[in-house]
Amino acid sequence: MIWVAWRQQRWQFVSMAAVLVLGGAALLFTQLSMMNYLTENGLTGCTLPDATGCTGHASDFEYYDLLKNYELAFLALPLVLGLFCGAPMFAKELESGTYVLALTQSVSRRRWLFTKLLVGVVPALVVVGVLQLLLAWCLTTAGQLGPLLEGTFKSVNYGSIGVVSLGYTVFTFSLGVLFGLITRRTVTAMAMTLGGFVAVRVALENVRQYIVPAQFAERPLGGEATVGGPWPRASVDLWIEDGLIKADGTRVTDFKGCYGVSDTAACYREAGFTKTYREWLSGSQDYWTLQVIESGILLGLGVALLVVAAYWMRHRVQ
Amino acid sequence: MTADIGYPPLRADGLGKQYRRGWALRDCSFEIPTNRVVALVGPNGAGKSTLMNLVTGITKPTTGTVEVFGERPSGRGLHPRLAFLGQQKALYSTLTVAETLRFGARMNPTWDHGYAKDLVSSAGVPLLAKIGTLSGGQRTRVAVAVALGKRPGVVLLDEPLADLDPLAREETLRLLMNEARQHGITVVLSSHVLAELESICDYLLMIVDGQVRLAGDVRQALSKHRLLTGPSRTKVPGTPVDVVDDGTRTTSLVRDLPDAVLPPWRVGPARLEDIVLGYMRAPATEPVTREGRIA
Repeated sequence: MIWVAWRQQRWQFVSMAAVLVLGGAALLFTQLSMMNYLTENGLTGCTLPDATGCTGHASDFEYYDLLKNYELAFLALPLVLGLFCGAPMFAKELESGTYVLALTQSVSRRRWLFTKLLVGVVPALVVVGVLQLLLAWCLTTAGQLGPLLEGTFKSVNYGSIGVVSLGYTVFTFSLGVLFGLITRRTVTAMAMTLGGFVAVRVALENVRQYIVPAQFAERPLGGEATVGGPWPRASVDLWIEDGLIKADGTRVTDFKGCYGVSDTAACYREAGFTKTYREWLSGSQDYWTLQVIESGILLGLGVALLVVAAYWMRHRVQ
Repeated sequence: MTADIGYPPLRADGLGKQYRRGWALRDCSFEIPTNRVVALVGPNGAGKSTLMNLVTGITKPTTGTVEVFGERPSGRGLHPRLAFLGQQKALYSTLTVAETLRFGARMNPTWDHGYAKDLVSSAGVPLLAKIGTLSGGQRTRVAVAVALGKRPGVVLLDEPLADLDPLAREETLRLLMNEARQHGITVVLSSHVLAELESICDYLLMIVDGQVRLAGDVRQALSKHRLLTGPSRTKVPGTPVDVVDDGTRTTSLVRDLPDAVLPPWRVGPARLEDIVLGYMRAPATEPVTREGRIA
């Protein structure tokens, strides 16, 4: 049965292997030549978040655009795999009638579903996983000279460093398989998979800051000492909100009463505020917690879709 | 493979299938004995394909049950003793013939590879050719080999001859008959052209408007029916199945004819085709029981 599933997806398999080899070679080559460039120009120190005296180097770092393009291509990879390997997997069989042949052998429907799915999704996960590791290596090497300057939480960076891309791969595959079974049309299934992917991606981007409790710190008005942790660093952390705190503890995020006043601290004190506060997600701890949680959500969605797919295969495919 | 002894290859009980547009099959009960070549006949859209899909478990019945060697179809795959060749003869067109046989081997634990390969190569089908490049006859040969390669006890073929030229039809039928006889396989062939099956089938299952109209042994059916001809507007003796009066002459298929028939009626033997046509034309009556109307 594994041979059958493999034989039917041979072209997808060959294409994935080509993407892995070509993409991997490109990333590896970029990584090595970039390391060389950084040492030769004495820029290694400028890749760190708190580097000083490096202003101006980022704008003419010649690998910046290349890395950005790698990131964008990588972001689309789970989608492309789901569209071209997941959606046609059963839609094509239902469209052409070959499912009758498959379903009238001595193999159960569930086994047919899951063997084909695994033979498709496992190589896809390998491709995404390996390319992700190489891309993350490139990005961290470039550090603040590359796209990471915009912060690790920036959507393209977030999708390129960490396990969330694997979650998207599983999710998009499952979505493609289910839509293929339901619509029985390859093109319709692909279009719906694209829609579903975009919807979930946008949704996750927008709920990210509510998934884990934010880091919190406050400091007295005009003072320097902080309570509860250091202020966030724009390059690493995700800023959520800041504002003022009254003596009774009430928080106000958008107090406009002191705009244009020269001594704002005095104005705030007069308005009854005693402290300022800030909320953010930490790039060191919260980042990885979020990556794991979001991957878990995507994996959970994928499994739920497959449960429906198994039901559909058992009861509705006829 | 002795587990199926004592069970008929196929048995249906009150079997019905309702689609959104209505009943495709309704209250069908029949039992097909072993080692028979069964002609499943009926006009287009009568429910022949629906019946086959119910037997294979591709579709699920709305009412009643169907059993293959005593087991109901399930999602666990086809009964190991049942093989099916659908109307479209679905094969993967990008696979080669050899790969298609390998597909059969990987999808069926009871697969006999040497036998399947012989079935294909004895017809001169090139093993390395892609399915998509084969002629209709060669394609059918490969599809039949995939069906028979699992060594079934009963094989269902849905309109296997429909898209073949006369030579390929004859060849396919001969192949099926040989294999059926040599290996004791029950063959169920559906067709809306009875003439094709007349020479080879020995059991008849006729479906009209989603109901079993006739089920039973062909020889018995032939001996029980007569074709009467006589003048127009005259009452037909015996139990007429249908009466065709064209204004000058009456022709009638009659069942259980009394011994003596008086003139002006002339009695002749009914061919299988006459019987089938007669029952197809006859107004719908109560569905036949599992014992059948002729048996």
